[in-house]
Amino acid sequence: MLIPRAVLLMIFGLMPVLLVPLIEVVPNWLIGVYLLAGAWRYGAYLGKANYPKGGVKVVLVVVSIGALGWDMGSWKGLEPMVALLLLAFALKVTELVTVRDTLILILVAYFIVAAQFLFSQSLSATFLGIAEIWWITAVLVAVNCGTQPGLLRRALRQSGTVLAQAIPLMLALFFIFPRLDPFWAVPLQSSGGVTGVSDRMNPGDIANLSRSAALAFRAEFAGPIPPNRELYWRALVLDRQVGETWRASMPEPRRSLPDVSPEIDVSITLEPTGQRWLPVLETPATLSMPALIAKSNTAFAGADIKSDTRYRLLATRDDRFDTIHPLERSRLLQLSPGRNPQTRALAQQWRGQLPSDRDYMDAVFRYFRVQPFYYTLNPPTLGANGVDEFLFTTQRGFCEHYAGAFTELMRAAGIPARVVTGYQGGELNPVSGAVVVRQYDAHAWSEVWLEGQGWVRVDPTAAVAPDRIEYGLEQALAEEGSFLENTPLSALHFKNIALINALRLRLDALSYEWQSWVLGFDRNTQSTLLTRLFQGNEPWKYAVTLALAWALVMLPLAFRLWWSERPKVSPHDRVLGDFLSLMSRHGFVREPGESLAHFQGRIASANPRGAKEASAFINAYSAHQYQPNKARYIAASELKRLLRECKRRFKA
Amino acid sequence: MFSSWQTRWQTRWQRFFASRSPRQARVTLTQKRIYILPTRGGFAFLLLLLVLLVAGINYQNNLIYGLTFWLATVFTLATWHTYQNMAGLQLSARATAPVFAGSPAQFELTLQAGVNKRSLQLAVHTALGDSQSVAQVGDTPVRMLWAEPTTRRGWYKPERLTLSSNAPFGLFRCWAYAWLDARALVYPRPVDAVIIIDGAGQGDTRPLGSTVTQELDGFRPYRAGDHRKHIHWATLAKGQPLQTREQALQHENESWVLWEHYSGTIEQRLSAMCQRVLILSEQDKVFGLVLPDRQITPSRGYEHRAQCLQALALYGLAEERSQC
Repeated sequence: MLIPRAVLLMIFGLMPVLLVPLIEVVPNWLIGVYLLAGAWRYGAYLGKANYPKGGVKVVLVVVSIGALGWDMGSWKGLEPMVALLLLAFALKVTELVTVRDTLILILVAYFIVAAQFLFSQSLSATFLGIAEIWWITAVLVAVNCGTQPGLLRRALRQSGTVLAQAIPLMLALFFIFPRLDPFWAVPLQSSGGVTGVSDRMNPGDIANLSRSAALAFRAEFAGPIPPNRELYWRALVLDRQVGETWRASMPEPRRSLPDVSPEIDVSITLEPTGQRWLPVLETPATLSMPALIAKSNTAFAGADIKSDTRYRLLATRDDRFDTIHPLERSRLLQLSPGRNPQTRALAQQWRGQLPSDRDYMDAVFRYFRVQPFYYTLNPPTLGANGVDEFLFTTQRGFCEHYAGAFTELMRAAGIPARVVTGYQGGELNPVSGAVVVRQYDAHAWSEVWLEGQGWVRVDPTAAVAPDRIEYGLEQALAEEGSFLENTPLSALHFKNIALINALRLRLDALSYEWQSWVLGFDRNTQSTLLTRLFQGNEPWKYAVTLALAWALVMLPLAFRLWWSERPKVSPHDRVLGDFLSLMSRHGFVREPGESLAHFQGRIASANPRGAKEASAFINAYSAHQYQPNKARYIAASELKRLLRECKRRFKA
Repeated sequence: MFSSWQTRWQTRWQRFFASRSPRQARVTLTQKRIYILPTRGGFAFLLLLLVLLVAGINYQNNLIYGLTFWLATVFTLATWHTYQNMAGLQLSARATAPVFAGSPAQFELTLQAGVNKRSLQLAVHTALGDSQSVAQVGDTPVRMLWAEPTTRRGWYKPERLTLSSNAPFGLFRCWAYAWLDARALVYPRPVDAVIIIDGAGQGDTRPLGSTVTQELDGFRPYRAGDHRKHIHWATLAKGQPLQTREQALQHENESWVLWEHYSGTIEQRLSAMCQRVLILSEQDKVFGLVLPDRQITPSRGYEHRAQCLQALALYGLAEERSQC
């Protein structure tokens, strides 16, 4: 069977919707493949192109799969599989002729929707997925209902109906179906999609990151929310200088903390970063997911964060666990040789003049405050001796410039110091109560080891742009006007318009609620919920619930079926039926095809006791049924009354 | 071995189906008659569900779980929708015309949807294996023709019809069997035969021409039903209305088609008589028919011919036996 034209159009409409949400994880040239496939099939529809024949098909498949393998490098991981699925869809479109072809296409499309869920489970992704399922199911309906006027509308309605009908049972299954352990370990993405602060920091890196308003993570505090100036979300500690670049070294696992009482309890929903670090606060004590907590007070997941991840962090402000080995100390003083002579000379000169490390640190801090340093997203590019140039010539930079220069000044003076990158602050969404941290909150600061005090956090940016720490990047850059200058339409520009801001916050709260719920619904949440709901977890209760949900879905349908199949009898005819059964009980059976008048005559000639009443009933019924101009309307109740009289007479 | 089992099962199934749906003049499709099973596409869909479930479990992805359960419920609901598409449909059939044994009997099937319902994408399969499809049965009934071969004279009742549909999802196939109580009259197969006793009895079938009165009695305006041989075509050529030549019927001799004039088995005799009736009515002659249990008085015309042929077709057949 061939497919109707409307189905072809629906599939053309489906192609971009399947491809675009996944375009970040598959090669870009798939767009070209999709356009070509669509054009080819359209050409075939117009009669200007042929469907690919056997040989051409083989060449197409081999070439495109080869290109995919060459481009993606490896077949391991999820992205090559997704790319393959998308490619299969496009290639199948070119030879789409029969209903069977369409069915294959539809199954692949459902699978692609599932693949989209693997990469994002946000509210918008969910809505998109629902719309896609609706559309794909409509294609399934359209291709099986044949050509008819208004096919698209009908198919969408039918598909919407069945999907809506399916919701109760779907929800019951969703909540009750046991969350099993994975059958086997599955590879997630193998490459691509790295965002957020990275394990190396060049001058300008964080400034670039700060141009993005993309969500980094959301954090929900169990207790009071600390003020913004205390929210230093630690991602990575960079303690090696290579040229002008600060790099992270391998994290050293830390022993578990003895008897601490964590005062910070926060649940973090992290967007995919493609990296392993997990943002933490202060000194992390425990994480709810398997993670490595490093001595440098950072935490790392077992694998790259390729999908939305949610974890709960317990942390303490107690810093008495900080230690430093002599060997480590020398590492924390390391500087790339032969660079920034001016800076290093200045450091040694000042340290010589000042009595303690603390005084020296304060002096450097003061230097940043007093000198005309300027906080900007658009710093000038720096040469080989970047720090020298920055400190003495340009004096314009973003947080990484300040943190880098400060750390260099400390190390040059023989004080162990390191750069910490992560995020600073965040926006409290009053609707959801969560702190929303975006990429433009990315930040870099320094930590200095002071004898007797341990690691001390020093944020030189605070000396230059205190607003950055108190109120966030937007305030700090208010004068320069460079905040999100590349995305002039971002809702974040309109924070001062109350309505838009309220809307934005509400939307954010909603999507946060969704994400934390959908990500957080695991085996524990499920068993807690079900135990509370069912007052226990006996299997029969689940069975009963499933049966009830099943009934909830099926009963209305069964009722509709019964309703449509029940014989349609007018009230008068129903009374006649009662009358006839009464008569047959008394020996008068109306023959098939016998007229009422004849039946009446038969009864009259037998002359039973109720002959008169029966005759009256038949007359009344005939009058109702056959009187041409209903001179007098005979109600069904009137017939019922006559029937009662018949009964009485026949009984007597 | 296997195939014998298969046929045995098939016959058993057919008996089961037949016992559930007796022959009726008008068949309404309800739960008793509609059967449903997943199609190949439906099984592929189930496979997809399985793979999705494994993906949901392995990636611990709640949205994929949700998708799986949603589609699984849609799959079960598809049974209802597929059933609903066919339920309430009414089938009835009638024979279009009598036929001669050996030529196919044609029936007309009428499909009527239930009240306020539409049935989509129906396929009607006959027992012979040919099938026709109907895009939609809606407000107006849909009629279609099908034919079945006949071998014997008498009443022919159609074989089983199978009505099926995959709409609206293609995941399930609904089908129903209908044995429709229509009957086609099958005349004996006309066969030329030698008349063994000629000229005996009360009359005979004389050769063509000798009894036809050639003299013309006059003309009258054409009336529907007049034999084409009696139409005076010349008047039409002149541009006048059709005229029929009136011939003096009373001068024409009656012919008889007599049972005793033919030899052979009953069927051979009937076939020969059938052929004779056809020839005589083609010549528009007045003739009568005598069967051992029946006599049809001489007359002519279409009705008479049909009456004679029916008598031949049903000769010796009890009404019960005529069901074949």
